Amino acid sequence: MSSSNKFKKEDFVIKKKDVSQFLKGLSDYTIYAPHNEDDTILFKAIVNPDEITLQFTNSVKPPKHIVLPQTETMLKITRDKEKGYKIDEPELKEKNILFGIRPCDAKGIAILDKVFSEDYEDPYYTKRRKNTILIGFACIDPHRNCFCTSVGGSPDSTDGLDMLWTDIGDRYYVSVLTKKGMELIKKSDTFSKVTSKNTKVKDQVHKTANDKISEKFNADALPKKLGNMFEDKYWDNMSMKCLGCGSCTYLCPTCYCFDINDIEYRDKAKRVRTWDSCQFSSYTIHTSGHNPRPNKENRMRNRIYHKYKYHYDNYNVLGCVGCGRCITYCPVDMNIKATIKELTKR
Amino acid sequence: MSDIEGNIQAKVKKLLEDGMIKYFIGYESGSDPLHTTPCFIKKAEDVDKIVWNPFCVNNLVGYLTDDKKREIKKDEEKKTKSIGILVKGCDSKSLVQLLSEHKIEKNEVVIFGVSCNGVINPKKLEKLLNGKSIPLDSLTLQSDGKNYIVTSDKKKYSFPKDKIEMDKCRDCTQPNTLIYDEFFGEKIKTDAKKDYTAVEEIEALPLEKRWEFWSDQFAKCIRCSACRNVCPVCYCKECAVDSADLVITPQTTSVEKANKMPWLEKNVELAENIFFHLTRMMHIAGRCINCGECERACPMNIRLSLLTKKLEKEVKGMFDYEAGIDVEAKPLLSIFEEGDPGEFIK
Amino acid sequence: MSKFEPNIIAFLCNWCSYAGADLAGTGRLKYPPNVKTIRVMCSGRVDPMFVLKALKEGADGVLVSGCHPGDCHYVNGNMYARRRFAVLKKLLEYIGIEPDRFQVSWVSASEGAKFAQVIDEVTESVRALGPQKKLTKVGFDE
Repeated sequence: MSSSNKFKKEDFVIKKKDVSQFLKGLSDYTIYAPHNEDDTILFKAIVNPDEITLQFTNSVKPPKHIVLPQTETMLKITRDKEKGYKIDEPELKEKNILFGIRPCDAKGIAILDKVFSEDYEDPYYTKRRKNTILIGFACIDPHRNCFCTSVGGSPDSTDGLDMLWTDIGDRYYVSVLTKKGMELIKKSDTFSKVTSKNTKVKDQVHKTANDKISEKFNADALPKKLGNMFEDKYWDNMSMKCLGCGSCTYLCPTCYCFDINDIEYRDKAKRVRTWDSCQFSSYTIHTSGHNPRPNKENRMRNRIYHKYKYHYDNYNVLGCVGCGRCITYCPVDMNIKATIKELTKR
Repeated sequence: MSDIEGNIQAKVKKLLEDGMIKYFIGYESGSDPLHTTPCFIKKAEDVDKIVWNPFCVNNLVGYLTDDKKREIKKDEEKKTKSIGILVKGCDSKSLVQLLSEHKIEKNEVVIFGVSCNGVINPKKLEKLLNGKSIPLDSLTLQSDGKNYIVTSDKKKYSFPKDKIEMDKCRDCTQPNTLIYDEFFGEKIKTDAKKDYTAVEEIEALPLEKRWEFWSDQFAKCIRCSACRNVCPVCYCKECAVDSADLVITPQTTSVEKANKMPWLEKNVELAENIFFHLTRMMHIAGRCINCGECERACPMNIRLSLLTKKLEKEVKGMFDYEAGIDVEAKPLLSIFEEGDPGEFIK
Repeated sequence: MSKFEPNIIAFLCNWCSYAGADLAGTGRLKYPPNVKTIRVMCSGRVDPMFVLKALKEGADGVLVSGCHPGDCHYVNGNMYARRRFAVLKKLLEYIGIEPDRFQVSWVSASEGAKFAQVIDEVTESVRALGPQKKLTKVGFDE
């Protein structure tokens, strides 16, 4: 879905104090930005720029829910006097800006783009995605669980983004990456030309952040390695402590599995699409009652295989962006980094 | 290495060598110095992995029923040997509860009891450490009774115990394991009383304020089921709210399948979330021992302990009943007394 | 604006309260038509999930009614129900649901008049609260 092919990238700077003026000028859009409530950082629709927190490493939930909501109404069915019934589909005209998304999460959305538009175009996702502008913020203080540089990303990766902003002290360095991004810049007079000093500072900031992610390993070999590890004892042992909850998948920026259900209410109904998780036993259960992945070791293996093999086989890119959320929020401290390291050793 | 840790290791080694247990469930070092993670020690040479320190937060008791849930049993695991498990005082109440419900029998476990001075909430500690920019890499921690002394980069920092320990430790009435086969450490005397201040504060709010608080909490829920899966007394193989799982056999007719009551819809919205949490609360009423695992496991920081504490308070107040203290006790909701409160009934 | 007519779901036990309702009917006692009855074999059969589900499906109020303590056809099903609903009631109030949204009563087979009175009271108290929105599914109206 990249429209950046013919676009010539351009760079600007904006003073930090002008940012809220820039955002206020974008009233046609719903702006989703990081917001801190009770020490929980989440992306939410912002009414006033003051609500935005930019002092954060990353949000608890990745902002993938802006383009792939956890619960999405696909259609509504109501009674109609003439026809008997009436079906309404959502219009999805809303224009969104995702302000402050981290490069890893933007890369996650770039990965979702392939899933939802390559083989089969998903109208809900693509409509939303087309109307969404991604303004990324380069990561300056990576978390200790981050490992983006090991899976083909970086704290200043531009995959999926329309703009990348970098904090260079009293202003932001704005790299405009697509036409969509340029149109926003043109709406405001708060942006000015960059100086060579600005560029230097920006490059330094990027380098410092990259260096902070000290732990590096090579995940490239995994798709091949996993090829003959399906029946390995390793899965039994590594998954013993897994609880089989879905927090790793629901907090993953690249997990996209969904389920579709019809929900009735009196004489109305709606068809909803909701996230689903391969870690639930109901995910694979057949109508016959047979479950091909009956135990958590089977399901955990599937998660690792999907991220590091199946996704690579299908789309030529790993299904992991190295955000480290599944480590940070796992109730039993499952460590996917240790898993990768262990697997690459074999 | 503390004495307790060494003694546990030696004992586990002995039991494994003698073939008395098939494996031992304890803690090992986690993904970073602030976390430990459950470990399953199957071989005597692995015992030095076992740790015992104030980061040993997880309640391991749930793994005992988890062991029984697995569908394909490996042959070597089928031999009826018991499981060794390290159980803190608070967690031992959930073990007692499981024993009283005959979910596990006493001869199936070798219980390692310990005396516990409280465990640390990694989230709280991390926040304090970040505030002072204290690096985590080489962090060690000691306790001097009232304070924890953190050593990092050869510098020492002192944190008051009640600022960084788990909330449940503040009014802990059970610092020693209730029933055990082996006990490690010296027994701790306590005259602590259960503290319901936080619950009472909510009770004192007017109705609409209570609703405001709880609807905000429940709206955050992403239904990852971490709270349910981490719960030691939520052991059902098929959960009432996972209606897709419920007893489908080859004999189940399509009509029966179609008419299955969808108790909980999959879409994530306030009404469904509340249904999920209240149903869970009703199922653990009089069985929950307030180990606080659900709140700890929740990635969205929902204050579930305020619900479980309320349950505990009401159960004590209305029926003078306490879960998890008597192996012979019957579960609260499967018994009754003539004089149970009934003034709410018309 | 027309008067709000609440939608109330009543789970009545087969042996006492349902018979009580029957008696109220044969005795031509008048009570509000807002109650939709679901007959269950015993108040002990009523799972808290039934109550929550009814509220989720848009009931403005829920009534569970069974035999008086000691009168249960199954000896003590109602005694278990009493415990269970005592806890549920506390929980609902705690999270900010109006107490009258969920009510419990004992009505015996001979208490036709009491049945009519209970329904009257329940209907009036729920009517006073207005429509129940808190626990109801959303997103079906335009």
